[in-house]
Amino acid sequence: MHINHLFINQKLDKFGIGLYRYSNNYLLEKNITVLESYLPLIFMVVFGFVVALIFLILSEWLGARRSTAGKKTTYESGMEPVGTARERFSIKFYMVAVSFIVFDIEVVFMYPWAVQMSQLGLTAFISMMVFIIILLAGLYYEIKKGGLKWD
Amino acid sequence: MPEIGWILVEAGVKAVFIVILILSAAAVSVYAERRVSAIIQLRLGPNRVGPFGLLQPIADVFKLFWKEDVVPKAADMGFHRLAPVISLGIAIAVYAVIPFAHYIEIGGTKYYFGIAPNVNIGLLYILAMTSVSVYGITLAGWSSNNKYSLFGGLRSSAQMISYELSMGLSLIGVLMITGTLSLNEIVLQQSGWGWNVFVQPLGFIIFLVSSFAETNRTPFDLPEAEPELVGGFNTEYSGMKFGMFFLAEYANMATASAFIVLVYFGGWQIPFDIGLGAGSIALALVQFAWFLAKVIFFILFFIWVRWTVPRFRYDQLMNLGWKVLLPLAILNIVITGVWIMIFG
Repeated sequence: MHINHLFINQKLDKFGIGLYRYSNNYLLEKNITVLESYLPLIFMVVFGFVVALIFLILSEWLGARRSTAGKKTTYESGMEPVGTARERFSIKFYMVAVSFIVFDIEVVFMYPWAVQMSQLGLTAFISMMVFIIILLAGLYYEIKKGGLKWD
Repeated sequence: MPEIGWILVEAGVKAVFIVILILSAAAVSVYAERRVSAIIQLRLGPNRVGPFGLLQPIADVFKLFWKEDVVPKAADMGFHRLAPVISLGIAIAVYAVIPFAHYIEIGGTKYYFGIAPNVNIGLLYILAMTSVSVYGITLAGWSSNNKYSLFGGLRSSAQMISYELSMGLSLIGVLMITGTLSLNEIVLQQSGWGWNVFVQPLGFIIFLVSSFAETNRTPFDLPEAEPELVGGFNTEYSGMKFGMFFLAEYANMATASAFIVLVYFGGWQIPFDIGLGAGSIALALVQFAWFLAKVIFFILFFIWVRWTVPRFRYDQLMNLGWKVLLPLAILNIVITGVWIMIFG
């Protein structure tokens, strides 16, 4: 299974970005490069958004149009709307977002290690354990400081 | 290169089939949800349109299309339109990497069941796309310029990004064992009864709980807690724009079920030999049916949980995500790592 990640042909093109061929069975069968194997993926993303756009256009085109001033007001359970929604909101959401960025970047660091773990061996494993201990220390500090407190 | 042209044609034909499959799966899930909830609550549920009410979802779609599309004057028109497109577009695009069965071989060419199931970043792609879908909900909440929507959107984004961490971390245990990000490769390694759930039980439970939170389903449906927030982020949406969020929600539920089945429950691999040759159409169809049966099981599980478990309070939800699931997911990585280091 790990043969997947070995290069057969290490010749890079002049841009040097992922155009070389792996010994992945699928790529060999189709005789395509890694970059070309992403083409259907990109196609599906575009296709998904086109379908969603068609839904949006149909919704605006087919729906009835009997607009009145009352319908156009902001919904507030039948009461007169008070002010706007463009107000300041609780700082706790902001704290969660900042913590998320820190931890998410650390998760991203773990992915390449996890995939290549058996080849990287003991040294990489110990370094990753040290990294995880620092990560947990950070989490402990944040909880003790009350950074994730919701009352 | 003509080969690339054929790849795109193949992808186009498959994409049409998959979109039809997703939309009908979403419609059937809505029907199943209404019927199952009715059974649980000792009601009848929709039973008037067609036999057993089976045509109800189709009637609903037509109704939504012809409903007036009301947009409040205070809303930001551009982003208000963009939000449902992001939600539904991403919900469809995620299916690009999901393998529905292995392949059929016609005239020496292998046709794989899926748009790009062999791409070497499959698992990462699904995680990335589900992160983008947070934008749809956040933008919907903000652009409506309605306080209910804003709170629904804020809650939802905070919840989704919190549980994304434990979701991503719980998958690392599987990656350490399989050593690949390609979904077809992960499925191939789970032949027989060698399902990842048996070697990663803790990771599976963390992933399951996180996927409930990611899809905004009960017990984590605070973004649209009806008694407090009316409809949450979609309060100011009507007509098919509302329907798009609705479809996306059910498509995401199906995606989460498919993802669980692929990563932890052997995907399309049939655990016993049924005597059909590799590459034959019959075998591919049996694999597809087997995969679909497992996905339907998990969709029904999602529905069952929704109508059985009450909603969390917001501080409980945040505590569970940050103080329980996140350390547990890291513990899972350490245990798996030590195990692999000692026993190879």
